Amino acid sequence: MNDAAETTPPRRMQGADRRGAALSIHGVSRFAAQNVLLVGLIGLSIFFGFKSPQFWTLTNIRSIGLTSAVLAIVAVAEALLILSGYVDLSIGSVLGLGGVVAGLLTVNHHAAPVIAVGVALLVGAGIGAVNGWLCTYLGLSPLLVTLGALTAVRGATLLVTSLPVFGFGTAFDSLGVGTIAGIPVPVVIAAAIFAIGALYLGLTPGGRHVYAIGVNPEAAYLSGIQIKRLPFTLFVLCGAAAALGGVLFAARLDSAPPGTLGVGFELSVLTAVLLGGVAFEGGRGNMIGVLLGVLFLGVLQNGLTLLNVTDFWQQVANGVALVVAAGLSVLSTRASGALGGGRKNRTEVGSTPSLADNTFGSGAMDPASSVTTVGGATTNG
Amino acid sequence: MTASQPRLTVRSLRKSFGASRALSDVSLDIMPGEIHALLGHNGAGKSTLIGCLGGAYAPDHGEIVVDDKRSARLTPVEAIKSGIAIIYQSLGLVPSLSVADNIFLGRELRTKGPFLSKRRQRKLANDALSRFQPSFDASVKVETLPVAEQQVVAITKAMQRTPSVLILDEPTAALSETEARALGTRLRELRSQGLAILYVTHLLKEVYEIADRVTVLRDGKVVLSGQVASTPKERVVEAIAGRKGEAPAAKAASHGARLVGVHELAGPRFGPVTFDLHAGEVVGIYGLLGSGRTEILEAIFGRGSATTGSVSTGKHLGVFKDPARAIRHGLALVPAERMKQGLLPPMSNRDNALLASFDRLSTFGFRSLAGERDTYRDIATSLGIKPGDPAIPVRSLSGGNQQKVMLARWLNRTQHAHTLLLDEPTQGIDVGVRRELYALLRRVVAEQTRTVLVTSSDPEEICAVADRALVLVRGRIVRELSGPDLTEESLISAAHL
Repeated sequence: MNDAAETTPPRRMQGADRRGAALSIHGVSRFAAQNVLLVGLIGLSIFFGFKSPQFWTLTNIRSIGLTSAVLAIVAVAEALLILSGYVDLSIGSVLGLGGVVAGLLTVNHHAAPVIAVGVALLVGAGIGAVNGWLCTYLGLSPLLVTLGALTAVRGATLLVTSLPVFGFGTAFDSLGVGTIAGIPVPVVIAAAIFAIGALYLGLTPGGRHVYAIGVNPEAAYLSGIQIKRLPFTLFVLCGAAAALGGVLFAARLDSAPPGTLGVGFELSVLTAVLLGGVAFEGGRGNMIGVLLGVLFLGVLQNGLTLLNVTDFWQQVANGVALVVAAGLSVLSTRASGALGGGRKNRTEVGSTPSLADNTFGSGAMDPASSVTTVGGATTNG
Repeated sequence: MTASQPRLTVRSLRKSFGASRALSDVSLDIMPGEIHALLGHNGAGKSTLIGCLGGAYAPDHGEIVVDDKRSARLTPVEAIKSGIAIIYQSLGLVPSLSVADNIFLGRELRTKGPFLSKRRQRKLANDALSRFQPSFDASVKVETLPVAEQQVVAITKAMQRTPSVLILDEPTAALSETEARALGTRLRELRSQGLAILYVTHLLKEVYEIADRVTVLRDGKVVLSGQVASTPKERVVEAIAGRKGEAPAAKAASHGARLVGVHELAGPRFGPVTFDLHAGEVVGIYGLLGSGRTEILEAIFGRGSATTGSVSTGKHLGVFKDPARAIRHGLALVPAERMKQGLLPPMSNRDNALLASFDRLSTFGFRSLAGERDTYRDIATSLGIKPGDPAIPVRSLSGGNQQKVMLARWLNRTQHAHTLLLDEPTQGIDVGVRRELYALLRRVVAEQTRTVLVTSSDPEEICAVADRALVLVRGRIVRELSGPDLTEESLISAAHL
């Protein structure tokens, strides 16, 4: 991407010693500081590789890919929504409903997989539309609205059926367990959605508008940008992505348990997105970061399972990861000087100049800039 | 303490912000039982002086003497303790609490236990208010009161600490004429009790109605100080305006077709106003803070609260529903609050300059990175944005260059705005860059295809940049000045009288 270079921010180093330092130990440690997540991911993989002989097997890598795939699909949509200054916490339940709806249509009504999946996506999009309408056009708090939807949609799912749906047949199940050129279908779908998300964010006018609305909705509005319609659309996409995630989960398990499918999933997605360097207040972050966040969580969960760490400890680890992500998010926000703000106080947009680096530009496809702010935080103090 | 000793004395106060000197050797005093008016247009140093007295700023030099206590600098707490009470325009009240709760905020009365003694607070609050003969009870919530009565609450609250000096910062800006007169009566009542009052205002009329002495600040210096009775109005106007500056930038000899017609436009806080904007002219709206200038610009642009009237541009007639429509019809707004309403501070120069152009520069839904680069480079060069690096976050630029980025948003080659609405465009911008911006605005209209409407509370600025000026007072146009009639003096006397 040709202007990624001009986006690479000027570091605190002076021009002359920049080249020399890049080769020195100092340069290596700087790289590490600026790419905390990447270093963490590599470190984690090496650690699990040592501890478990199965970790680096092809089967296990496929397994990591499968777990990460659904997370990635929903995280891409959620990341766009958070970048624009909103959030959707209802995705766990929407995921459950999506799986159940597709499953019921297949099992009870013998619908073709295309129809079943299509209807599930429409249901998810519809819930997203309701959430989006309440949060953007009516201006209600996204945290509260989607927290309400989280509970309500789960209840609605159990009203539809309280018993697990299963036995979908091979056509449907191939969505979860099939392969294309040796790669699992969910991974292919996730890769496609990730690519579309990254292209949208980095290379379309809409991507710029997402950042602008997240940073300063008033400025965006006065520049003629549709500051309600765009986030509304992202809510719809987020709902549809969650439903698609539910379909893939159900297809893989050949079962859609209405009470448990997707429970707690919104927290995993939020953790991945925040770990990936997306600011909870909106306006800052990129897709490469989100991908790294997803992989980090996927490797962590997989590795802990391989090491026979009990489910309870895994829950503790996931929770800690979310809190750490929140901490990193605050640190990077401080480092970039974007004070206050976000969805709690949309008019307050930071104006304090600081040394921190620009994480915008066309950084969406630029791995270096994904965690720049995190590094900036650690070195800026 | 003798009667002839001032209650507040300020001696050779100096304060600089970076390279610019906000106060240089300002001295003034206020006697007990005196209302001392402080005048000067925006940026003259009034706010800085109040800031030093209230503890918001530490002066670089000089001293502040309240009764017999001298200090070189005050913290906000010391200022209150030493007897300085300041009532800002924002009043500092908690709207959702009752009048009594506000008056006793931070010094609550308690029962013998840990509980608030609401009844006693209410009684004492009503007693304290009684001298102003209020039409409300201390138990009502502050938010239910009109601004004038909220002000009474704020003054009563300040008087609870029996201050030596009461400072009021433009107290009548948000008041109607009758309310302003009522405030004057109340202040005279307080004066009769020996309080020293510093009254900051823009309105000459008020000075002659209630003040005993007047001090005028200009460029951080005291340029006039004397008894009101022995100072003619013309001298005060002259002092506020200063000597004539250098010859104003070249003005248009003639102007072209009408581009925008504003007809009977009115909203809750302004109007009705009627005026036309023609190709090739810069029109100035001269108005003080709170005169409704921002509201008028926003109403034209479809942002605000126009309730009646119309804005016509070529094909369109009626009030614009939102900014996007106004932009489609060739309007552009550069808001006064650059950081809050205009810029995306952490984002790059390029993203800020092209915020309204990404769609126009895209092909088949994808951004044209080369097109963006060229468009940005051309406009950055043409406007002289420094540093012009497209990737630098805009918040690291100086105010003047940030304003150029804002202008770049509407002047780059993808845009076809024919009417530029600029709200206080030089706020926080130093003199050198101001001149540059004036020249730039003249250049915008030079081809006789565009028009610029610019608001300002600085008469010098209006004279320097505008062909024609509309003087705005309390949301209405009271005067239109152009040609040889457009002088700083005529602007000030039209707005202040």
